[in-house]
Amino acid sequence: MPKKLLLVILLGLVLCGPAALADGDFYPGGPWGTRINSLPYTISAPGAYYLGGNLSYTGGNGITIASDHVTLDLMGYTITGPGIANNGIYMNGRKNVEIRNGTISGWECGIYEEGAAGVGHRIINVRVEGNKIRGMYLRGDGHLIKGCRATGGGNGLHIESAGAITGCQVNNSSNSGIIINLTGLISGNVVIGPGGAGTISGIYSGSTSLVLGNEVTDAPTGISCKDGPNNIIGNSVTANSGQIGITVSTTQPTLLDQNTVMGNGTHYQGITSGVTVVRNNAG
Amino acid sequence: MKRLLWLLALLGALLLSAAPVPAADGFFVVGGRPMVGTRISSLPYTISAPGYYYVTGNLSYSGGHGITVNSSNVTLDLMGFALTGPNASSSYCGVYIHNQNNVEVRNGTLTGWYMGVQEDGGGDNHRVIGIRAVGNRNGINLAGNSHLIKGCSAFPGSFGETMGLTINGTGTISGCIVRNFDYGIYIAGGTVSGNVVTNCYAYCIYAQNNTVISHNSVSSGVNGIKGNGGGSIIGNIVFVGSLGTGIDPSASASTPNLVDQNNVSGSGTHYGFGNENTRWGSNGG
Repeated sequence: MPKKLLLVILLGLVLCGPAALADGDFYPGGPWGTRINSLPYTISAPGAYYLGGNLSYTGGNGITIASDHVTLDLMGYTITGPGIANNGIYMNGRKNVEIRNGTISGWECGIYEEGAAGVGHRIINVRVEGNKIRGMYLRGDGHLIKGCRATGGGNGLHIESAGAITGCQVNNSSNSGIIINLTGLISGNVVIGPGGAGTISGIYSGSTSLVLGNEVTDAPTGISCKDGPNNIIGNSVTANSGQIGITVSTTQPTLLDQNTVMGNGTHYQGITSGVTVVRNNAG
Repeated sequence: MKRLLWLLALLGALLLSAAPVPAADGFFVVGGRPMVGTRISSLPYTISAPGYYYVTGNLSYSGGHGITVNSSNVTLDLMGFALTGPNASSSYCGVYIHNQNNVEVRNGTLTGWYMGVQEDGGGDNHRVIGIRAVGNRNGINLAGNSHLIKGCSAFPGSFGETMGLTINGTGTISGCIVRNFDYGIYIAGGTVSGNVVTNCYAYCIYAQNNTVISHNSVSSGVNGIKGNGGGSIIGNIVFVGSLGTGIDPSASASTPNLVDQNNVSGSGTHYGFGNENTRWGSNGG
């Protein structure tokens, strides 16, 4: 065999060598999970599921998860709805569902856990865009929303209780951007909009949450913790004319420290002697 | 003819090195590349050599530990799948490690075991990342030092089932969500930060030996945070039930605590007395 031919074959074998290990998720060659080819789709058994392409559906929920212990990887693809109704991904009272890595667009709600018994979901690196009422709404408790993005639509990212929303971006939701009703961690997020004045919040925490290191711009109320005790530490808020930067409870203990509020609106509201601990804040 | 063969070989090399292509149902194949790592197809399985190991489907086993790691320098990726044991009353672990170093376990569910992940020897430098330890008696329990537990979730099968996330030596526990154990998070030294811990029957967070406990959200069944061995308790928010103490620094003068930027509410005792060397900053509640 000519030497040149042999060299080319060897070159091909080198190029076919093992894929380099990369940071983050990595999929070796070989079988992995169940591929979802079309919508609607119902997941009825534990395991890993993935998309192999963009999918759309207008007649109901896109993906219904009817099992616990599910991992659903959108593999960077988009599931698109009719724009006015139904849910991109729907669950009712499930436990331990992880959804990651893709876009959900054009539904009434992008991801909806409807059951108060829902526990321990994890939504990671998911973009919810232009969903009419909510980007993500997780009832129940113990949920995590991390590294996600919500644009357009109603409420952005909402956990009912005992959860964390971290490292997310919310742009121009027509209602509140980030909500945890009870006991949570809201940290490292960026919230922009929706502009105007009123009771809509960039970030809302009902009670017993740590609101830490977030940036909020142009929300009617930048950070609202008026309904219960919270720690509000190290946030940066811009409150334009008619808006409120940070509002706290007048009756429940709040720690307010290392925050910066700027703009022509009201910077701080509800601070009460003996109830609010105020340390070093600017603005 | 030789030129034609040469061109065909070149063309083949280019095609075989093409970008990944989604394949038939049930497969995700990195096109043209051989499999990487060792696939675990059934339980029980023993890892005896360093390397990368992965799971490609839900697996279950009721007669012993699910996966036993008998080597250092191992990465075990559950690939989003679940390893299911007999039940939380058994004595078996989903992933069992004894006296190894540098084992990483990630990306999946462990359910129905006595412990989801356990290192019960003197092994160091383990990493447990993105593990959902759900419905076990104990979630993750690591003896030894310099461990990391990050981005995990732990819920027991029923209320009050012993320990959620435990490092019996030094390490870091961060970004986790834990509920309904006797001890939600227990650590003998290191850092505990950015966790959400709720409804634990004894302590939500219990730390020994110079631990930094910072920026956690805690809603306790009984006691919130105990800094028993000194260290810093900073920026936490705690809701304490009627029978417990929200934040309780060490009572020993030889182990001082800094307690600052915390906020405690609820009907129980908000702060313990600490000791004469406890430094109190500005805390709410």
